[in-house]
Amino acid sequence: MQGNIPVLSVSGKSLAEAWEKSVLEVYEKGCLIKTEYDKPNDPPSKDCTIIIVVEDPLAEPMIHRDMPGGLEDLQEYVMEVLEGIKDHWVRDPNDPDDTRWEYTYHQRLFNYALPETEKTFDQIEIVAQKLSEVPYTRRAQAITWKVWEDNTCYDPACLQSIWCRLLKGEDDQWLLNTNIRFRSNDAYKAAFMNMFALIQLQKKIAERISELSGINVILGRYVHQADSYHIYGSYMEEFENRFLRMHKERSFEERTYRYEDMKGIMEEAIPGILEKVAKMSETQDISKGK
Amino acid sequence: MEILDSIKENLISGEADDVVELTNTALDTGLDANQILKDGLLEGMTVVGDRFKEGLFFIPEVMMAARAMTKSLEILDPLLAEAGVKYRGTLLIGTVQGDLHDIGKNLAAILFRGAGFKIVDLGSSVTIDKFITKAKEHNPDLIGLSALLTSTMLNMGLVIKGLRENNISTPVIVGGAPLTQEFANSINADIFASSASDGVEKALVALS
Repeated sequence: MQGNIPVLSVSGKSLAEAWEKSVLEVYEKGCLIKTEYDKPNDPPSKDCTIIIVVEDPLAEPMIHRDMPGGLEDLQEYVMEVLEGIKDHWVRDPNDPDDTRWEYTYHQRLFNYALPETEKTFDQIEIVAQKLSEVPYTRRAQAITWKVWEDNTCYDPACLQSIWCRLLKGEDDQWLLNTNIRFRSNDAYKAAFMNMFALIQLQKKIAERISELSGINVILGRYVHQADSYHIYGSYMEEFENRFLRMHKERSFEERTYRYEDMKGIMEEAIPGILEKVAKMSETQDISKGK
Repeated sequence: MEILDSIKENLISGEADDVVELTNTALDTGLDANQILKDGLLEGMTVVGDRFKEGLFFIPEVMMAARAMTKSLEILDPLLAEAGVKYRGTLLIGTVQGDLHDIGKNLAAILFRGAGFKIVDLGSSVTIDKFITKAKEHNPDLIGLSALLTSTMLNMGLVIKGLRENNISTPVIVGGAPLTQEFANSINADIFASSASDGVEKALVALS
């Protein structure tokens, strides 16, 4: 019915396959809609609500080559989400002159802070603890939204929640099933890197549950849901000229990398990333305009 | 020459170890560093830049080629400096104050380097004072400003104003997702880059 945002779903064995299918799906079946970020002459964006199922999150090839950055940038993003290397760049919400970031996912997930108290919550540890105690619980989730801040801030978090549950598979093997929800997700220029980092987080949670419970937990399916999954109009020409063209002209193997093969290059970048982050810390006060 | 073609081909496919090995072999056989740079590395990067612009290459592939070039230059740079080899020009580049998104800036720096420029990369969230100080220090042929956010792109105008007030007339090129030609005009930028490849192309014309 006209006026209804399409609800789409795709499934793929590996991350690269599932993501690729998701972008093609929104391009082909998404509705046309304007966004806050469109420039005056941009064509409308393609948009939908989507459910993406990655059946085997660590299956190769994991990495799709059509990323908005290089492998080093992907490594940096994983470290930002899992290790919090950029948490010091989160602004003070009580300081209107502070122009740093509104949030990092690491800070919201591992160090969720309440106003007017020093108390913080490591929600990922809580999720792991709950599941190690009651594997079938439906209450193991982490959220990012801060009602008292995010309804009025300039750049509210796109990732909303992570929900996990364990289920026994073949040979009594426990699998960690994970559902991720984004309120808004740039399909072409952000979703792949988001999903890659969040699968690494899923792996981290599984390892922590194993550690706490003494039972080996492996990864079950990863489900990525987005209320608004979109290809921006401003990227449409590039998307058609690169993504769609390469989809026709190259084989799937030539459009992807095996993570296992690229790990060395990504890890080689770590010292440079840490050096860059250290420099960011040096400029932090200046950038606050103080 | 066969070995230079091999350097070029291996660079295009991002085979850093092979490019390093071939660079050493080329030097051992008596080729000079400048010839390896021009006819091997830069020719390879030109192909990479062209393929990227045409939509035939993905960003990680450009980065892999740049990584191979960087590793080869670690060997060649001292020899090039010794021989007094000149660059096509010097680009001073950074993301403006408050903006930590540097992927676009890094890609632009790689493509400019591939086009034969010396790059002075100031990193991300660079203050106006730092742009001014470094411009005086390096006397670049071009200053590149990058921003990803609508909030931080406004700082580009302040950098240009600061440069001009300090009598630095170096052309300024601006780029980043939220920018438009109209915005670039409004802040008196000399060149608007709608993409990294577009920036290189326009800069080469402007500086020729």
